[in-house]
Amino acid sequence: MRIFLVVEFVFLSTVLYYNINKQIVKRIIIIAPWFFILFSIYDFRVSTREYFSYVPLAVECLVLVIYITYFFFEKIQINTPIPIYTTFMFWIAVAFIFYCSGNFFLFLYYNIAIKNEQFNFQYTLIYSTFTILKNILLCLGICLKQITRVYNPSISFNKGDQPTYNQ
Amino acid sequence: MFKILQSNSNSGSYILFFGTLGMLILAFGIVGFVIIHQRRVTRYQFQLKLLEEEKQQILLNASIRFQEEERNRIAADLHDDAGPLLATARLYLNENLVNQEKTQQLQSIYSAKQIIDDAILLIRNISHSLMPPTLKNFGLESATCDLFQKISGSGAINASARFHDYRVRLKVDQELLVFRVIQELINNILKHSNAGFIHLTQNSNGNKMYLRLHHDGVGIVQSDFEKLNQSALGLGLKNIASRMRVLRGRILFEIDPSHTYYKITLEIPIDSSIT
Repeated sequence: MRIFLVVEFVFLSTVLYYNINKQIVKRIIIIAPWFFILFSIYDFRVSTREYFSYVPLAVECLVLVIYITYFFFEKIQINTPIPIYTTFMFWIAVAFIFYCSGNFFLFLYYNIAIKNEQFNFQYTLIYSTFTILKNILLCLGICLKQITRVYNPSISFNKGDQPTYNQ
Repeated sequence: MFKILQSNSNSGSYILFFGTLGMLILAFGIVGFVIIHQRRVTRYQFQLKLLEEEKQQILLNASIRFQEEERNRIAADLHDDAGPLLATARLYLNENLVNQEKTQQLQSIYSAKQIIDDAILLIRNISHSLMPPTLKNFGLESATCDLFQKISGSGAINASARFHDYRVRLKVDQELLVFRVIQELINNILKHSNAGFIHLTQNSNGNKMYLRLHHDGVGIVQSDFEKLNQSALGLGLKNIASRMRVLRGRILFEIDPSHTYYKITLEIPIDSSIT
């Protein structure tokens, strides 16, 4: 579970690394996973073996919310005629910002209130809702990517004036 | 003890609820702000583009109108002045000339010669008005000084021009554009300002050349210039604006703080000029 958490964090960091332009932020994105791995190891050592510790998950959510907020900040500084909501990356970022911000307090409270039945119900409700929402938004992003691939051909007249399409 | 635990559990639930709600509001706020901001920027850019297109259209129309007016003027000059002169010369040199007496023949030929000389002078003047020979041969400084001398020589207005630092000459086509702008400005001053003097100074600073015109008549300021540029009026001013755009320069209309004279400053880049 912890390995999955680290892999997930590294994967999302890589995606955002390639979509953020500022060099200093890119460097932070490269360094942050190492600290996250160290923190996960530390948390593994200090936490009890009875339950899975959700604190690294909360930290991951917080860091991802900060990354995505910065990603949006960069996007509003760039003037482009293409609406941002027609881009694939926007929906990926929206999916994770909702998922992370929705589950942040849940993960933070998990270890404290694990034995509370009421909390367990709330946990299932909130976690499931945000996971479904995240998956829907991710699907939307992927569908949008497919649509832009099919309907946005790049026309080149170099090869015997025959238009070529990117597939 | 049970009550304390229950109250802790309730407060935990509240924190969880309000915390999650707060984070969600934050996330919605960020996403909403990004979308709204981008839409606003796109709309603003679209409006700017429309305005720019409209401005370009006005300038293009002005340029076409100016060309047509210039053609009409040349056509009128040729038709009204050169045409009758040449027709009169033809009358003197008709078929009956050979049947006339020698003195009459000489008189007719002399008159025809006089008229043809006048026609040559007229065509020369028209040609000079299209492309001043002083500008072509000796450059902007000489052409401008010549123009100011001619204006001053008329006695109607006191005009003077002084070039302080014109060691690096502009390209010929750039000089022509600058000269046309100066001509247009002087034309406007003479027509509308009722000025007593016009003074032109030239200076260079770095890779920019500055030409400053002072006059003590009724002038315009930058806001008037921009207003006239946007409207259908002010054909000459539109030509000035389009010429300055070709030169990649700037023009600034100002009034002296003491409100005694107006200043027009032309800022022209000289990075692509010849020595």
